[in-house]
Amino acid sequence: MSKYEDMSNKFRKFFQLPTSLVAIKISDRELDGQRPKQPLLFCEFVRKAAHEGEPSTIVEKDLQNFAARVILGFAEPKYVDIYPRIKPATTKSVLVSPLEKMKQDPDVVLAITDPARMMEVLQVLHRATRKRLEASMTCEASAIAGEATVIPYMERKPNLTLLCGGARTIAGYKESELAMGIPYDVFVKLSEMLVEPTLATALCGCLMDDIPRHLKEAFVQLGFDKSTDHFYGEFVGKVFRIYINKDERGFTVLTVHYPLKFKSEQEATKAIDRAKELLAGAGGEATVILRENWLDLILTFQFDKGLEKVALDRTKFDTTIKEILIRFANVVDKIKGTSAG
Amino acid sequence: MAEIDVGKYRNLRRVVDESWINVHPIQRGGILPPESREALLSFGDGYSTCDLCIEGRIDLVRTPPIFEFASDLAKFLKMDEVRFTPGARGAKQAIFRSIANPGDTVVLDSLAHYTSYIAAEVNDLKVVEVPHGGYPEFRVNVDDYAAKIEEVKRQTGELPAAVLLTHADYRYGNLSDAAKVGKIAKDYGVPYILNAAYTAGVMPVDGKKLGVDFLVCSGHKSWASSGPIGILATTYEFSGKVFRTSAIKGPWSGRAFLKKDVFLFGCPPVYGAPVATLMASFPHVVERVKHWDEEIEKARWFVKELERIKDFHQLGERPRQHTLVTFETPSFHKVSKKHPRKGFFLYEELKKRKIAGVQAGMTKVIKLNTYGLDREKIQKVIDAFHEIARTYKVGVE
Repeated sequence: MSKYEDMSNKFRKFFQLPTSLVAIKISDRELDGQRPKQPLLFCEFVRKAAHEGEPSTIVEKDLQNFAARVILGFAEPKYVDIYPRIKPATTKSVLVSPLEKMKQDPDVVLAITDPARMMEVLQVLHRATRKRLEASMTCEASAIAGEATVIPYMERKPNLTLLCGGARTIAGYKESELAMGIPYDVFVKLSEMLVEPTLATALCGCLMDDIPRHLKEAFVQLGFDKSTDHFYGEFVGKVFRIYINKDERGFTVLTVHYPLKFKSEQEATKAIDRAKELLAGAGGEATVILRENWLDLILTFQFDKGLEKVALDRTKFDTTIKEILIRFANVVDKIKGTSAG
Repeated sequence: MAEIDVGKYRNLRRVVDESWINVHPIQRGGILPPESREALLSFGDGYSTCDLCIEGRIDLVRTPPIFEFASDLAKFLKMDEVRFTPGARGAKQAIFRSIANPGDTVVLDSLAHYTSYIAAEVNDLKVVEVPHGGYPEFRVNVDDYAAKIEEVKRQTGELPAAVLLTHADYRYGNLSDAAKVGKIAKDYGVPYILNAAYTAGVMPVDGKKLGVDFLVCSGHKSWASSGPIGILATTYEFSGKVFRTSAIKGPWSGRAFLKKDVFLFGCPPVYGAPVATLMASFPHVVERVKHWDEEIEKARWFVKELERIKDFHQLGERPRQHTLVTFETPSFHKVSKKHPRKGFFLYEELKKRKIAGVQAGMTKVIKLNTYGLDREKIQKVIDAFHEIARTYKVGVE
């Protein structure tokens, strides 16, 4: 997929745009590409690209309307100067194409849609540029050529137009439509802002718990990693596991685990009583569970206010958790010292 | 739209072929025996099982013998009637739709597959979860089903529309006591759905003994079928509801579709390869479930050998009751932090040794399944892990 197709898809999906974005490339040499079968208004070429996906490479004689030839820089004005227009008038051809079919960077990208969607486009545009949009328009004639294409092209800024009579009566633009032209470099910035809101960091989009982010971060800062259901991390040379139990009051229970491996189930069984005795003095509620040749050493701590509240004071949180882990580590050393674990 | 390059779709071949050892947790039970690979080729065309469809529904086709197969499946599962569904998820969706009303509540285990939740959501049902016990076993206490049924009754004034238990969960491979939940459900008179996606087809499952009203199976997970196909088995008490046939009539044309299952959208779209491979693998499946104990022995040996690596620790219940095994692997995660390929190093090291199935990028916790692998292949996997550990200076006992 080309980058233009990718940008087009992203933009259209984000703003739920039924038609294509229209890319305009203005050149002072004759561009290759499909020439139109008959002369039309410039806004008709744009509409064909948007609705029918039909690109056109236009030269001067393909434009029905002399004003559009001047505006697009194919010809100099004859009697009085007009605004806006490309000057000097060096244009030899203009490519009007659905963005997804472009093979080179366009100069301007046009979005034609209704006011509700355009409002959303503008909101994102503002986030991308941090600039207010000040639209310049008279809506008198050749609005798609002048106000949507040439102003963005010459002045390097986006512009909005409510179109003109010709666009609506001849080219078939609907009453509900309006257009905005955006210089390509600005459009790229806008496009980069189009990220669907994500609720989860996992690529599958699944949330596996509802532990608040600041609480997770507090453990990560202490050197723990979040696995699917629990945290683990190395502390004073030992890998501790932390599981946050949830009850109806919230995250009020913290369990710290240290799985201690023995050579056999018999050896693990022999070590249970001593492990219980030592762990009982480590603070918290001590539990020792035999799982084959492993002893699960567990300390459980109650946080009646909820761990999520405790973690708001990071210094206090760090001190509390570190104290627990240091005490636990000492006990693990003693159990290892008095058994074959 | 822009031009489409179709070249990349030509000569499609899977990288992981029979020369690899595949330990993918969701793939082991779905690997086709040779006879089913032949059936797959024979029935690969769309609608290929419908050459002689006379009655307008896949389970009523007699050539090939799908009608008899459906009946044999029901016998095998000790249930009364079965239908084929678009995966286990399609079965759950159909069950909820047929026995619950929008706004009702269903009770399910907190390790349930996501499609159990979505099957409830799509039918506008609320869910109440039976908690698991947390680290390290994450075991669902099935006795809590009674408390949760009471909770729903207290809060809504009504019993839940159904209870659902995941027989073996996909995260830790814990095998729950399905018979106990069956008893609780029966005591309360609540319909009981057992999601046997990871059990039926790889181990013996007797719907009657377990007291289930609905048994949900996955062909591509556990019945050596190409899939996508599921099996919805039920009792005569519920078959009239869940397999209700269409009663709609076109008011102008007078058209009606009297043999089409309403909740399975007429004829479930499993015709061709899915049902053909399910059927072709049936003799293989009937035989293999007799050897479940041997599979468990191999899984326990595998755990013991992998736990020789420093800090490898099997999560979930011990000793293993299922071949899907989860390990936390802090020592490999530590390696990944300094490795230029980060978490992908393990996947790539295994790939070099033609071992597939460990999720790319994962090093904190890994899941594997040894189901159906012989000891020689399991030994190769063990050796690969030990070798990788030694390469990165992680101790191996």
